[in-house]
Amino acid sequence: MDIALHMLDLGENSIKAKADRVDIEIHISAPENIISLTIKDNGAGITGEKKVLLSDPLYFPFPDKNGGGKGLTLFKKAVFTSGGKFTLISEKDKGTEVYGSFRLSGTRPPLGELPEAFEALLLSVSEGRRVDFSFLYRLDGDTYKREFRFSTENMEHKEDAPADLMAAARHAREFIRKNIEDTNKNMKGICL
Amino acid sequence: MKTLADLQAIKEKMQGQIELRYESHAHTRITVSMGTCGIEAGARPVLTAFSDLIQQKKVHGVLVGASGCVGLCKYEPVVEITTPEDGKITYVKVTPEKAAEIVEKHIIGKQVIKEYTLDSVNE
Repeated sequence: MDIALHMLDLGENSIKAKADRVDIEIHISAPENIISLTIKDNGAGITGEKKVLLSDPLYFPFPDKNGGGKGLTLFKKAVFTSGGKFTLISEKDKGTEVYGSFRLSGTRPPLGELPEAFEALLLSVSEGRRVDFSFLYRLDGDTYKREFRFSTENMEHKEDAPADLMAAARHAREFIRKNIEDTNKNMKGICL
Repeated sequence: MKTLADLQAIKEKMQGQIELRYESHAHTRITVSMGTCGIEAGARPVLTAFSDLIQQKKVHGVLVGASGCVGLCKYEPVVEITTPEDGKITYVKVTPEKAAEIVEKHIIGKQVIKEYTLDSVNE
């Protein structure tokens, strides 16, 4: 699984947790030698034993019957394999923040296709529901950054024209792709 | 509005509109299962393929979306297609290439591709 797919997977967790705000951040920094993914939502939060176990950096649980915890565990494993850092902050009814960093030059999954993953994330919100997404793409601290905001409210599903929703998601994909390509021009000699 | 007959008349008038609305609900729905298992098995390119194909071919009344894990992890990527004609059909181990075929034959041609369905692999 590449980093973009982890983003999609964890973003879906946020949607499932009934969040209506999901903030995603990708930070790539050559001087610090890291590439990090942060996902913050205002959903139901992870509680009880599950939270304690998932926050423990060295605990890799078997997923429960409903598959719960698989995505986070895979992400955590990928982070530790690369020698990065993982944190999970979660509070009941306030939301969850997941952070994971990878060593840019180390053994790590590739960045993957962020625009496509983001489009898929938009398409996984069920129609009529409003979720505000923000997607921040940063290079070298704050030197180069692009922030995108999308709300599924504007892409409201119409009964006779479901294509509107898909067209909006596709537009978001193209927009992000173009902007990321522009931003990446500032970065030379780094393999993502 | 004065009498019971008036109410009846309003009801009849509105009934027609309500049915019209139900009618337009009967569109086709393509749902790609996107749990962790699906994503790992390659559901993301499948979703992108469906979304692109439906828009490129300008097929109307088809909604492409994603759902969580449907509990068929060993058959991922799983795609469920609901059409007014055939009801719900579950396709398993879908690839972007199979997606193109499914759009062509099932969505446009209204012919279910039996070899790719869950029923055929279960036998």
